[in-house]
Amino acid sequence: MSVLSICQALEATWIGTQVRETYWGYAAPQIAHMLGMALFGGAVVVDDLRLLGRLRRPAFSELSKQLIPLKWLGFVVVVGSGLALFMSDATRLYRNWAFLVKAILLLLVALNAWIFRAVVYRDIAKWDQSADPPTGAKRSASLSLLLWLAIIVTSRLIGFVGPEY
Amino acid sequence: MLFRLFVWYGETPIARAMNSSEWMFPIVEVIHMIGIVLLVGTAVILDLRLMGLRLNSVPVWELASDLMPWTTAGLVTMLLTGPLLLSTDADRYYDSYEFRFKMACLILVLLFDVVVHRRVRAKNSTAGLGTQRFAGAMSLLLWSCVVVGGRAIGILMLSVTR
Repeated sequence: MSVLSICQALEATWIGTQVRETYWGYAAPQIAHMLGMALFGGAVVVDDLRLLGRLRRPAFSELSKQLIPLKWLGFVVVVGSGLALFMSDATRLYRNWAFLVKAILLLLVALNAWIFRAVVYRDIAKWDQSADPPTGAKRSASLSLLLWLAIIVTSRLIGFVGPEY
Repeated sequence: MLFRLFVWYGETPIARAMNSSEWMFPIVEVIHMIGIVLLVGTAVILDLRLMGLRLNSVPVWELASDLMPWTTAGLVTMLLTGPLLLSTDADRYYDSYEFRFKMACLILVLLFDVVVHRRVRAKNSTAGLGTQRFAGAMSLLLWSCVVVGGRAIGILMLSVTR
């Protein structure tokens, strides 16, 4: 089974057809994607601002614990609506370079978060309360913000590059 | 009268510059989008705090004063790039309900900020819990409507060219 045939099958599904061919089928996931992004992105930005020393309180562990439900909600909405949008146009998107770059950047941002948890967060007890976290934490936060910036750029590019209809 | 202003705006050098290359619109749109995350993202966190749902261990005024530079940076970005996007098709935007809805919500939320929200989040605020909750909920609702309206404009414009 080739990638193309998988994409063709996705496009032929009920969701793929609804999103492609009806007004609200298309508008609803677009709007949800944007609202979810504001929620998820907001939580990420605030987390990163705390790591960069731009937010005094609460302690980082407390902040990230409280933001996790918001991130999950935003994440589920963004991924759900994003999948629906992908299904509507899969055979074009899988050879759209901006989409592929976005997918790679998403993997990198997940990797960055994992490294943060595995390395920087291990010493959390030392800097949890500090308004000025260590360099490693700041580096991790800057990288996260840069990657998200690039993800927004590639997201917008998807509609402007790649194969014509 | 207002329509003629929009038509005039759509013919200014700004509009011509925006329409001079097919890349101008997406570039400005990306900046507009980054502004959204900064503005609405940080506003949501503060509004959830006002509603008593998140970060209750931090005083409202402290969270507000830490987040406000970023919220303001986002707002300024939006207000600078939005009119540029508008200029590319000003008379069509004027006619669209999506655009009118977004502008109505934007004016409401900015007014609400100046009249209510700003006082509630001030350091010397005496606002009670009920007022805080109301201010947070209204602001959250109105900003969400601005985002919904904004995306709806994009879909409308696309639906014509698709």
